[in-house]
Amino acid sequence: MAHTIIGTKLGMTQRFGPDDESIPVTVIKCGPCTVIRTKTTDGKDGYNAVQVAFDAVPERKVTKPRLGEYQRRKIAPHRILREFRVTADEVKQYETGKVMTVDGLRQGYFIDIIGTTKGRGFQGVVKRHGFHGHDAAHGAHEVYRHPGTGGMGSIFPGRVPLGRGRPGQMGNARQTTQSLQIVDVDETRGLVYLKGAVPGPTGGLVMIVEARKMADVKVDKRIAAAQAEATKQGGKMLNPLKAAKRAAKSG
Amino acid sequence: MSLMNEIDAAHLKSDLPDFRAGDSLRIHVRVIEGDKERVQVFEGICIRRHNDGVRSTYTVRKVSYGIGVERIFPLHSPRIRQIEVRGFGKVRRSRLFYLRALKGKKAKIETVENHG
Repeated sequence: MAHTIIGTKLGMTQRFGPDDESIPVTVIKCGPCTVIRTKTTDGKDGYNAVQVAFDAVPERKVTKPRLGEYQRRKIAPHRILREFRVTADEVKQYETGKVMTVDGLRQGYFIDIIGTTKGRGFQGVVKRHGFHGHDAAHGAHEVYRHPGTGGMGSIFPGRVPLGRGRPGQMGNARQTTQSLQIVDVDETRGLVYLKGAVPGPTGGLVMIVEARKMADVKVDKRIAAAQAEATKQGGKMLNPLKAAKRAAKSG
Repeated sequence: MSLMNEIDAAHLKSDLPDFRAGDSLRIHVRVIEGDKERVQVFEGICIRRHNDGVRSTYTVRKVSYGIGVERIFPLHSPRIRQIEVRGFGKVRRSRLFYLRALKGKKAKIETVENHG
């Protein structure tokens, strides 16, 4: 939960890393997010969660029921309201009015990011599922980008296998990209630099959450330890980003 | 996009020489081999510039032992120690891909005093 924050994708650019290597980065403008309320198993909600508001807007921009929610808690109206599930211990760290910034995010750490992919409309199987299409020659006609058969045999198995690719809506769907590394954090401007691409268009809403598959260990300490070890053996400066990756992978 | 430009501004090199396609360059590149670090020089003609803020690059072409070699360098890379401009070339286009098909005297570019 320490890493959870809502933000906007600003676009991609490039940074030069500790070894002067070029790193492709996506810039995310994060927070500030205000905690609206918490939910607990003891209360009438029956589960643990934190409700967070992002992107302050004038009063007239929010609906009256929503406005009431904000005014009741003496919080400025926001455009976005999201809820994050947390554990019972974590929920105690939050209270109404608490402001979340990029403070919890640190260079080298890994996070997952949730966004909404660019909408591509109703697409055929070649674009949507990477089917190869058909021959342009050898007697084929009018079927170049068709899906072909749905399955085999009228007796066995006599049905279309589950998960068979078909044409349909592509994109404009929620997508999580896992294990992106934080290359840099700009606390004054509330910016986070992530290595690699992030789902959605520039200006799209994204949510940074704790990484599922990368251990959220004390990465800074592990880097410091690795550096100390390297120095002792007469080695040179380590690349902190690479050291962090090793630390997070080993768990 | 302005905020993105602002973000990148601090990572741009300010001491870059002015050069264009057609100019002769000597590029001093830092090379790291194992624990050792040295500077390697790549000398050739700039055949393309790609201007895109911190992501800008340029392509340098030379003929090495009869084999054409082209390298694309990031303009703002800290690995580039120095860009030396040896001469200004007189060319009529910004992308000199036609040089790839030429050799010997035909691949030579007339030099000028300055770009004016």
